[in-house]
Amino acid sequence: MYVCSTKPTKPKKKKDLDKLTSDFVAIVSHQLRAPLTASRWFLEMLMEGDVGKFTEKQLDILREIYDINERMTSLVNDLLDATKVDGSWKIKLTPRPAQIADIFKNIVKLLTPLAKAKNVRIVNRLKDKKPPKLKIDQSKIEHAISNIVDNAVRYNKSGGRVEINFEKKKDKIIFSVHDTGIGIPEKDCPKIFQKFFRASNVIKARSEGTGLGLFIAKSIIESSGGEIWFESVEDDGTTFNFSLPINAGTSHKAQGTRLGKREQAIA
Amino acid sequence: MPDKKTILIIEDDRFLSKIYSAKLEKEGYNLALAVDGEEGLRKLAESKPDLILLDLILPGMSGFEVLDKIKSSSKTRKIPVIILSNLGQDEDIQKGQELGADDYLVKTDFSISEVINKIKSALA
Repeated sequence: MYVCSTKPTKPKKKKDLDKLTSDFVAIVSHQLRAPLTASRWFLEMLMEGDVGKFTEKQLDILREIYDINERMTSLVNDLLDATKVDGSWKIKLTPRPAQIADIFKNIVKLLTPLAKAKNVRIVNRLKDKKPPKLKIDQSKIEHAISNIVDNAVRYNKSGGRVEINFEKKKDKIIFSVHDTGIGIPEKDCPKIFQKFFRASNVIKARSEGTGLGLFIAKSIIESSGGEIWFESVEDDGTTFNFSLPINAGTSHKAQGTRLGKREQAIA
Repeated sequence: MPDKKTILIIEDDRFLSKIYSAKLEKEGYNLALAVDGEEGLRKLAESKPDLILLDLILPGMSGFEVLDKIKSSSKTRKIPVIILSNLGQDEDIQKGQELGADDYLVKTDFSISEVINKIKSALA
């Protein structure tokens, strides 16, 4: 027989607690990926007819489950990215020359089913005029832009519009995503970029969302040497703008900073 | 009629293992299964596979260690290894490439059909 004694856990300093929480979230989120992948692949096998034919009604339910799985996967990916900002995993950027028009084209393609379902038209001006190539981490920037354009479609009104454009300045390019949606109340202005914050008019409308999209977009864009801001009229629409430097490498100044301090920089 | 090709699958998640087995048996491949690195290396010696599917997060020996051992031995280094993992950080992918993996697939980015097609291409 042995005695197992313990000492009382010492309360940690706040900074350590945040890091511990982030590491915890990262570990759990990572472990969630395996069952999410397995269930997604089982669903694909069913929907592709590997184990027999289903009726249309049965396939409909399978597709719903598949959508739910994709939502869970997105959430896990968002959580993992969010922990990278103030946890022990840093957002590591691998910048390479890339054409942002291709990124927008891909995102618009992925969001077309949602836009159709909401009766929202997406106008992508980058289809006809392309900006110069930029040295960016393509997959991270794609994640940031995806979050912004997804919001523009999701918080739009039926019959509304999303317009994507850019303006070339001397040493940077400013991209804009305009929507004719519900807008963002002025009092939510700096907080909208905080982790888990969702605007008051969105919560009233009871639509889904994790409140992580803009937090992640902002940290990726700032880590890439850019800035993000928006203009909005409540109930009328919002234009999100973000800049990316031309031919610059990554700016590491934003990595690892507590984003709480940076909110005041947004006008 | 060409001989059936053999695939060695080193994967500790039993659901994923079941999915790979179902799909690959249907395609006509012989399969050898292992739930960790040690069993994988044992079966590698026994079955002389034409391709190895390797997960990175395994109990005991890590997938990277297994890959290193496979690619360090003259007997096995020519066997193509496809890494199937949910570790998607750039440094993991780079490490896999440096150790000699022939392909690195992040599971969340692919449908199961796409994974199977990659395997078939590697064995063509």
